This record gives sequence, structure tokens and C-alpha cells, in this order.
Amino acid sequence: MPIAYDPLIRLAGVSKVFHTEEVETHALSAIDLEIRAGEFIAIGGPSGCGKTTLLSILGLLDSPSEGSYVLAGEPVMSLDQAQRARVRSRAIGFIFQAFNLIGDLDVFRNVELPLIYRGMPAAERKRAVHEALERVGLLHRIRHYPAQLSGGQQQRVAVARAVAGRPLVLLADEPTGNLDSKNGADVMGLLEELHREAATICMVTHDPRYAGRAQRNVHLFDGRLVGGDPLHREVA
Amino acid sequence: MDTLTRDLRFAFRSLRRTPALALAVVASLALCIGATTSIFSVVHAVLFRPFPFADPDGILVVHEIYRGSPGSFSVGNWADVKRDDQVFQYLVPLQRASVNLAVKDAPENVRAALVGSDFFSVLGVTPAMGRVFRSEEARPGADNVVVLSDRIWRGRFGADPGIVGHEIRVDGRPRTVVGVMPRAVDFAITDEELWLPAAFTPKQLAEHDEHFLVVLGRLKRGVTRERAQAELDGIATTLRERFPEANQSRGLSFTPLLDEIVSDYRPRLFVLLGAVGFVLLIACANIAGLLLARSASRAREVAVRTAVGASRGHIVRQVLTEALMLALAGGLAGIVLANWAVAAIVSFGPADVPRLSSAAVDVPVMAFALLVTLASGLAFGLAPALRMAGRLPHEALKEGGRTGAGAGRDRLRSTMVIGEIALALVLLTGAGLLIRSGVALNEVDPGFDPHGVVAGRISLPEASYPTPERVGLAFRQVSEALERAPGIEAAALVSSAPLEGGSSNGLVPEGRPLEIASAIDSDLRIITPGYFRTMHIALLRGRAFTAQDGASAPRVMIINEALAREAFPGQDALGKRIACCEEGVDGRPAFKEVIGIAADVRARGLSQDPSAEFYLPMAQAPAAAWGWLSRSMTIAVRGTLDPAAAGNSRRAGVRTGDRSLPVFNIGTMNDRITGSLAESRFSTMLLSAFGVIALLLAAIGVYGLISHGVSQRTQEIGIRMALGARAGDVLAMVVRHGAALAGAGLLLGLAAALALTRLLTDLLFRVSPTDPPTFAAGVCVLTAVAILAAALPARRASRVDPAVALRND
Repeated sequence: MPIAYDPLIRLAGVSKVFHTEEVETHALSAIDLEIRAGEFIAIGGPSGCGKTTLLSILGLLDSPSEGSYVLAGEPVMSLDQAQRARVRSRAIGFIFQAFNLIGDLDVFRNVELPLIYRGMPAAERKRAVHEALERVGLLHRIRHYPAQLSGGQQQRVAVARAVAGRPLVLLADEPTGNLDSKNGADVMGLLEELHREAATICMVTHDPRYAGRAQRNVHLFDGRLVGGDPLHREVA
Repeated sequence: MDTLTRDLRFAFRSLRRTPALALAVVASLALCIGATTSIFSVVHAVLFRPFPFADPDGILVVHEIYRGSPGSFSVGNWADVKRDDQVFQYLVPLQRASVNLAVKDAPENVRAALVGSDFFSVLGVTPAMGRVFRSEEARPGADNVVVLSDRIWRGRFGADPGIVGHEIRVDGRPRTVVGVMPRAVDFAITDEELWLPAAFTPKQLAEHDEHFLVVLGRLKRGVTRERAQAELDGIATTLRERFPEANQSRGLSFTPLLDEIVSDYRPRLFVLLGAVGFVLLIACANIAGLLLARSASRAREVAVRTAVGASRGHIVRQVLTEALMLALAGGLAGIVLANWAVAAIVSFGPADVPRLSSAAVDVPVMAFALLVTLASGLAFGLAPALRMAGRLPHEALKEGGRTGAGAGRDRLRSTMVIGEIALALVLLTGAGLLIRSGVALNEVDPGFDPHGVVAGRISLPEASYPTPERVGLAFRQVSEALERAPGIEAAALVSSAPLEGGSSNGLVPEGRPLEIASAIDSDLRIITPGYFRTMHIALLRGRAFTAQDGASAPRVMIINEALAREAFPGQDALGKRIACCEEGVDGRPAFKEVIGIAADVRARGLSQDPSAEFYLPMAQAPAAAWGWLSRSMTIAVRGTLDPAAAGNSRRAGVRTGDRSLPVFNIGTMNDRITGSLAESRFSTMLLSAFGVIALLLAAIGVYGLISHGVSQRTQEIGIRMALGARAGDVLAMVVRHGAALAGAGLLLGLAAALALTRLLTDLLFRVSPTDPPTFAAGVCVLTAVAILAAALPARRASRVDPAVALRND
């Protein structure tokens, strides 16, 4: 993974306010966060604290109401939807809790999907897909459909999909949340292996066992960042 | 019974929960079942409804067959067949005529038929009042009787209950009303308003060469049609031997009366019925799609019912009950709509379609509507019922509690939408072909200029005009009076104007053997000198008739190009001689010199190629011709007058000769051309309407499927966007799905259209049933509409918030 920017991600004063009918909900308030290239960071916190909103903003799926966001040296706050999509396809890899594979597509096509959106030529795509699947140990399942795979295998395919395009950062939202402990441990092992190979990983989890395997932990509570280093800081 | 009541109650409650869906289904069904029922009502009235007679299938029309085509009988041939045959119980002549009826001192022309005394026995009808004709009344001098139709009895005689025994004047001759027919006979076969006995003179009975009689028959009990045909073949052989000149190349045959009357209309009506059936199928597919979409949202409800003990049968029955309730509501509304539609079709439909006026939503039509309704309910209810019953309950219960990515595409619904597009393409191409055919017909040069020409017909009663001389003199007086009338640019008399039919004669060009085998069938028009000027028919060579072409002048004729080509191929016809129509002084056929070649006229209809025609000056009309023409002529007037004023003008002109002569069938030639195309235009309009409805329904089908798919795939779309898809990628993906459906439907539709449009061949004019531009236009229109229908939900899809992909906790 290329390491050319320091920090890779810089959030400054980021807030997110949702307006629903007459209710105003502050999902995030004045978040300042820097993530260095090659860092493995875990974002923890109770349900509804804003973890997923923060990940959505990091992944350019959502925009903050206030504050600035610089990704790889580029301010991405003012990008339009098409530019955001372009950045997502090139710079960000997503791993979801519910795997989010597309049921109508086989394993190959699922992994290939972000590469198509990136505009990668077919031969290059094929090579990248094979490499990614080999890395997660599922090359032999390349023509299977998601429904034919176990939960752990599906999440490994999702990891392959996330890394196939060699993104700048991997965003993982509760990647072990839908898995039993063995499969959860396998997926965590995979993320650690990717991190060892210099991948930048930002993982949302509320499981202290997996948060502890990250380099750095940050905690969210009521939309505010309440702790960073030292590791394993618990919020009451 | 309890189960049924419970199912009905539950179905009602269930439908009440989704009133918009129920209303949409009932409305689209009402429209489609209404349209199907209306067209079936017309088809039933015209093609299937039995005549209101005893054993209607047993009534036959007997033909003389001339050069392979069925034609009319001569009086002599009818008399000989009747005398010799052993198989017919009845064999009666019928000669259609226009007669002048004196009502309250105002002359009116009405349609009549001169019929044999057994005519009503053939039909098997008895009069509502009085009696039918007696056999002795079929003799000249004893035939001063008349039977009235119910229509004329009510319309012109005020439903006078004492009419029987009264004397009325028909064609100036007193006749006693002996009977009134029941209403059921009105328009049952044709539109006659009264019947007169056909009383043939011995001379007429010996005439074998003038063919104008329709002959109706009924076989004796136990006689098969094969035996009857064999008998007629034997008699035809005898007639050819006994009267070789008149009957060479002639045979005898028969067809059932119903076939005779409606066979020309069968293809067009079946095409319309098929088309509206296609529309109904498309609507059913759409409704099935809606219910399938609804079934997905009811999966949990069904799963819970299954979990608490409902069997697969229970579920199917419940869902079908809902479908049938919707169908019945739509069917009932459709029957109401059909009542209005049929009334509109009868009022505004083409006047020349036989029995159309009897179309109604009666018991058989209602039964059909009910059948279609139930079939529709089953058609659109079965798929959702089986799908809902086929779902495994634990899957549905589990799905409700967890998120799943990648909702599978609905193959069944996709297949139905592909079918809809295919059917819509068939309808669109069919309508397109008929429209192109109509455009081609409108562009046809009829060979004359109909603009500004008004025509009407006069008929001289035999009682007042018994001799050819009197008839000729009277028409000459009419012609002279017309020429003096103000405001008329040109006027002429013609035995039959274009689109009025006419009589056919056998012509033998000089140099060929004087026998029937050498004769060229050609349509005769007897005209006054101003005819070509009045109709603006081009005289290509030679000269027109003048006043000098009188009775004592050399016999002359003008022929059209078609006859010139046929009679004198590769030669100049001008100055050549042709024998026809009458005997010369030596008993040999009289030759006439061709003095002019006229341009071809599409006298039999714009879609018919010009046939061989010849013109004779009225002053030289053969004596027998007035009999062929029933002493009738058409007056054609060119001027700037409106038809009513021109009619008055001609009436004034006619009345200078005889105040009792009405002018009837008055109308502009433009209107006649329009009228000749009315039936074709009407069916084209209906088929086009069905095509447009099919197009809209197919668009709704595509929209519904894609839209539902987008709703189902919101999360998948979110995932794609999270993975880098731009709005354009999502838009393209969804539109591509619509285009793929359209492509598959169009391929299937093209194959079906190529096979089915061949059925339209007989209805098309100068357009091939596989006309590439029409097919291309149909494909383009459907593609555009399908893509547009897919673009709307695609736009919605492209606005999906990608963050939904993460909201899965």
C-alpha cells in the first residue's frame, strides 16, 4: 500500500447533525482525529454513539455538517457526488458487518465490482481478483455464490473485495459482528496480516477483544471522542 | 360454506388494506374486460349469432359459378334448376330493388326485395300480422301484394294495427298489404323494408343470359351437402348442354347463408378479437406482477399463518379468492363499460358491416365476459398464490429479522414483462401496418376527381315507364333539365357511378370467335355526354360522346385502359370494334366502334385495381339494359353547391319530368369514398387504440418491475455506491435491466409479429405484412418507452444514500 501522506486522514472539528421532523440529533460533535498511513485504529463505543456515522464520513458516504476532512492531502469536503464515488473506488475499501455481498453475483464478480467502477481493464481486474482471493484463501470458491458460502467465508470474500483494489485505507464496520468466535478470530487474523503488510485500517468495534488487537483505540461517547491512547481505555 | 365466507371476508379485509392497489387492478381489468367484451359482442353479433329463423344453418345461398367465382343466377337457370332438382325443399329467387313508395303524397325510395312465394318458408318465419305470399301471387298480374317489415310498418305507417288489407302505392302501382313481418326479421339478412312477389314473365323465365338473381335454398330432410352438390353438378352439366352459349363455363354451388354474408368480415373481426385478447393478457401479466410484488411484502404474514397450521391449499385458496374478488369487481365494471362501448360502436361504427346494429351485451356476451373474468382472475392470481404457498416459512421469518444483500431478481415477473413487451410489439406492428395501409389508400388516385361532385339516384317505376323508349325519354328529360339548372358546372347521368357497383358484360373484340370463352368480363356504364367532364375522368385518346351519338347513329363505345390492354394487347384500340350487350339486326352480336380511351377508374373501391370498363352513350343503351339496371340511373353534378342544395336542385330538375320521382342515396363523392373506407378505418382505429393501450401497459409493466426491483435492491445499490459506483453507474445499471427486458421482449415480439402479421395480408394495401419500416418503428417506439419506463425508477435508484449500506445494526 502506498504511504505518501502523513497523516493519511485528518478530521478537524467534524460535527454531524441529523434533522428529523422537529428533532435535531447531534450524532458527532467536534471530532478531531488523525490517522497515519499504515496505522490500525479501532473505534469503540456503545451503540448509538456515532461510530457508524464517523465511518460513513471517513468513507465519503456521508458529509459532516461542520469541520474539515483531508484525505491523502486532499480536502474532500467540497467534492461532488461523482468525485466522492471516484475517491471511494480508488482510495477506500469497505468491510461491512453483514458482509454485504451481492447475492446475484458470484464470488469473482463481487470482488471485481469496485475495480469495474474504478475503470480498471478486464485483464488487470482478473489478476487483482485472483490475487485478493488467494490472499483470503478462497480462490477455490471463485464461482460460488454468496448463499453457497459460510458466514466466515462470506466475510473473507468481503475482505478480498475491499483489498483487491489496493485502497489507501480499509474501513471495517464491526467486521466480526455477524461471525462466531472462530470465524471472527480468522477475520481478525486476516486484518492483522494486512496491517503487517502496511495496510491502513480503521475498524469500528465494540468488542474489547478485537479492539485490543488494533494499534490504537479511540472511543466515542454521545458523538464525542473521549479517548485515544493509551490503549484499552474503557468508557463507563 | 363457512370456509368460503371466511375466505371472502379475509380477502375483502386484505384488499381494503391496500385500496390503491385494489383500485388500480379493478380499473385496468374493467378497461380490458370492457374492451374484450365489446369486441366479442360485435364478433358474436356479426359472425356467430344464429339468424332468428328456424334451423338457420340449413339456409343456403345457391350460386352460379362463372370462371371459378360465385355469381348471380339468371331467371331461366333458376327456373330450370328448380324444375329439375330433387334435393332442395325450397329454392327461391330474390332480387334486390329500390322502389318508390308514396307516403302522404311524398315520394320516398325504400329498399325492397322481389322474392319467390316460398321465401318466408325458406327462412322459417311467420308474419306478425296477416300472411305471407301465396304461390298464385308469383304470376304477373296476380302480384299486386306486399309484405311489410316491422321497421317500415312502425316508421312509415305509424304501427297501424289495421294495415293488413290496406292498399299502398309501390312504384306507382297499387298493392295490398297482406302481412307484416316480426321485428326479428329486420336487418337479419339485409336491410329490405318490404317484400314483393317475384312474378316472372314467360320471356324472363326463358332468359338464361342475364344473371342478377340471388337464390336461397333449403335442403330436403336427410339430404347431405355432398349429395346436393352432386345433384347441382348434374344439373349444371344439363344446363351447359341445353344452353351452351349462355352457360358455357358455368357451374352451380352453394354456401351457408351466414358464411355468405359475413365471410368478408371474419378476418378483420378475428384480428380485432385477438388484439383485444392480447391487451387483456398484458393487463393480466401486469396485475400478476403487482400481486407478486405484494406477495413479497406479505411473506411474513403467510409464514405466520403457515406456522400456525395453514396448509399449502389454504394459502393458495386464500390468495386465489382475493384475485377472483378483484377479477369479479373488474369484470362487473367492464360489463358496464362494454354496454356503453357497444352502443358507441353501433352508433359510430361503419354502416356497411352486416348485423352490427344487433350487437348488444346480451346473455351469451355476458357469459363470455364472466368466463373471461374468471380466467383472468386465475391467470393473474395463480402465480402469486403458488409463490406464496411455496415459500418456506422459516426463511420468511428469518428474513424479517436480518439484513440481506443482493435481493434476487424476480425471474417470473421478468418473464411476464418480456411477454408483455412481445405482445405489445405484435399489436403495435399490426396497427402500424394498418395505418400505413390506410395512408397508402388515401394517397391512391381514384381516377376521377371526387371534390365538388354530388351524386344521387333515381329509379323509374315499371308501371309508369313500361317500355325502354319511355325510360330513355324520361332520363333524357332529366338530363336536359339538369343542364338548365342554375349553379351547376357540369352534370351527367350514369348507370352506376364509381363505388356503386354495376353490371358486368361479356365483350368479344372483333376477330375473336363469337363465343363465351372469348368474352372479356367488363363493367358497363351507360352515360350521358357530360359524364367525363363532370367526373373529371381523363379521356386519353379519341373523343367523348356527343349529342350526335344518338339512337340511329352508328354504335360507339369508350373503353378504359384496362379493357384496351386486355382486348387489344399491343395494339391501338381506337377505331377497333367490340361486340357486346345486344344482338344486331342479323341476330348476330352487334359490334360497336371504340371512339375513345378513358383513364382507369377505381370504381370497385380504392383498394381494388381498376377493372375493365366500357361506356355506352345513354341514347344507344341496349333495350334490355333498363331491365338490368332496374330503370335506375345516378345523377352526378359538379358545382359549388352543398349536397343539400344540389339535391334540391336535382330534385327540382327531376320533378320537371315526374313529381313522384324521389332522388335517393344523395351524397358527395368525397363522402362515398370516405364511407367505402369506413370499415377499414374503424378497425384500424380500434387496433391502434389497442396498440397504444398495450404500449402503456407494457410501460407500466416495465416501470412496476424495475421500480419494485429498485426498492428491493436499495441496500445493494447502497453497497455498490459504497464500493465506488457513481450515480451514472447506478442509473445505467437499472436502465440496462430495463433495456435487457425490452431486448428480450422485442426479439420474442419480432418473431411473433413476423408470424402473426401474415394474418393481416388480406387487409393490407400496398404494404407487406413484414414491412421493415413499420417493424423498425414498432421496435424503436417500444424501446424508447421501455427505457423511459426504466429511467424513472433508475433516477430514484441513483439517488440512494450509500450510507444505507452501513446502517445494518
